[in-house]
Amino acid sequence: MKLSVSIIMLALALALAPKASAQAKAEHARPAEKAAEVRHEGADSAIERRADAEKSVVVSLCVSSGNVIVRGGDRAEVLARASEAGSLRLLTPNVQPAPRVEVVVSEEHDAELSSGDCGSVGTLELTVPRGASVNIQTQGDGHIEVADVAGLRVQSLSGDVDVRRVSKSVDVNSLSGDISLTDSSGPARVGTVSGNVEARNVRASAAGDSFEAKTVSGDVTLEGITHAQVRGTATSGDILYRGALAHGGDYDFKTTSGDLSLELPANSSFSLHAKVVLNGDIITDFPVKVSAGSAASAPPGVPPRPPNGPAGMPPPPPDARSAARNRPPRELPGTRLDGTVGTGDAVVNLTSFSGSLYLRKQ
Amino acid sequence: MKRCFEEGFLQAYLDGELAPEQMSAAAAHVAACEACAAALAEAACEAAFFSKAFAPDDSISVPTEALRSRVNAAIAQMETGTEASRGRTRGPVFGGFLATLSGLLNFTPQSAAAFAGLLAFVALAAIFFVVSRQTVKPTNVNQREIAKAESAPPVVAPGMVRQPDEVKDSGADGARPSAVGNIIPVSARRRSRAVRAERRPVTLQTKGSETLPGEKDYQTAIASLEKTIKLGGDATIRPSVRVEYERDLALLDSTIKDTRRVAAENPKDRDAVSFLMSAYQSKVELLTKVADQSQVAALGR
Repeated sequence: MKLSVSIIMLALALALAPKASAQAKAEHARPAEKAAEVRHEGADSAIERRADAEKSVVVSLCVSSGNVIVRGGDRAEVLARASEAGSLRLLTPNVQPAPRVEVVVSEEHDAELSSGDCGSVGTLELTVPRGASVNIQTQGDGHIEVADVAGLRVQSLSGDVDVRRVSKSVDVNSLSGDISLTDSSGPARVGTVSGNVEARNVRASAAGDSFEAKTVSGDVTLEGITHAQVRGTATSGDILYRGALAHGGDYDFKTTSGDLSLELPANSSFSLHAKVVLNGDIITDFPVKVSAGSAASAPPGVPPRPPNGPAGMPPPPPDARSAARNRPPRELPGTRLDGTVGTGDAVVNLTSFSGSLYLRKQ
Repeated sequence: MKRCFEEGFLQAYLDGELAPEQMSAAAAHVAACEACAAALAEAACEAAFFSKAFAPDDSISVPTEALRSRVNAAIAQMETGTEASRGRTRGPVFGGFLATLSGLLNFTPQSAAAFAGLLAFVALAAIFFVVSRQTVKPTNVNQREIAKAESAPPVVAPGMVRQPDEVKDSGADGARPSAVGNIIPVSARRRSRAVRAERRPVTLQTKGSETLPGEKDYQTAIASLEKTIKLGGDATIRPSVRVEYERDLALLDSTIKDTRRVAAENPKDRDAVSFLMSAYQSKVELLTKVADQSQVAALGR
């Protein structure tokens, strides 16, 4: 009897020992996390939190509604400031400086915040190290501004997204709202359903970097993109690409009912595959050496265009329109032009279902 | 172009109070009419303003339309069940018949032993019958599966999660785009069979024309996403988002209709078919985003 009682006691002791040690560890961890957080509630009822972080920290956050502003800085810390919010917390692993920081916010005061929470805020401002990678998710209205970070990934529902000076990679996806990307480098992918996409001065940082822009009902404007692989897609919106083509680059643009315009330097060299499936024109300022078998509806180099003519999004200049009108009617609904400009260094694919394609000299 | 809508009609459209066909007609009109689109956007802004102002009141849990319909269905089922049970208890003849049988249950010890023996025999026979059926069944199934595997073409790529009916539908279609395997969201895959049974076919395709290769998969995905949005409660989508969602949906439906007509006439024109598939893909992406939003909002209710 005594033996059985002692065996049971021993088993109980063995079972409870690991839990007790884990509890003790957790109690040690919590004060360390709290010590890294500083709360400042000023007159505007904003809440601040701070955590020491690695220079390449991964910062993630989710807000159900509200504006998000992220800035890269020189300090190895994540500083968060939330206005019109009840609670704010930075969740970090028990490592200092933190390799990961999750910013959680709630509209309720003294809320028990945990990983994955997604609350509303007036404006959430973050200062992170320049080498940080930032993941932002929004489930409602609110604008997003991000500048001077290494990597960025955004999943936004409604609201504009403004991205500047991101050094390594950009991936922005939005349901409705305009997306603007400027002065950045690395592979980039930007897509929205009903907003416009504008990208200016975006550089490739490696040979395989690609650039992709997509919208359904908005316009796509690309200027100064140096990637060797560029893809642009729009359903009812227009696409404008303005700038030089990379040597050996691959360019693929596609619209369903919108117009597609390329404004290229006069000395550009590329092979062209342009097609309008149903109805629409192909108008080029460049002398295209037509390939055998290409059913070109527009003679190469026609219509000519004054050197300093107006340049911009469609509608095309008046001379181009009149040339299109004077052209004999097509027997087939579709239009196709395959050929080479110069020595054909880059490959340009332009396709539209019922929009027009324009190739203009800068 | 049709006459512009009145403010009340636009408000009803925003609130999702119109009949489905009216909703579609309104969405199509708004997509084409700038004046109505502007009026709708203005109404949406007002709605957003008021919804923000009344947010504290809205946070109080009230029965949703979906819940209300489920409650009504449950009540109707209960009423049907009560009617049926009434029908069962109505006849006094059945009670009298039981009363006459009770007389037969007065046994002597000898007859009770004999009756118990008979019962044991019947029970043993029943067990033997059940066990013998269970041992026969698996062999038949295995045979059927082997036969199916021998006859079916190997169309499923490794790593794809496909429903059996979808595999059958794709048939010998080797031209099916590989991306199709990735368009069905996890949330849609988790739906129960009961939900899938209610799915109505998408009526986008031209009458009398055959489904193009790969089209069926998109239509299946779209139908399931639309169902997911409906189950989540499409009224949970914020007014400002809803207006643009409806416009984009109308635009994509129109694009699908136009590109499909051309692709059906020129099925060998890869570009024409590609535009159709791109339009389907865009619609799937739009619905996926809205379905996710709808589910998030439904969880928050």
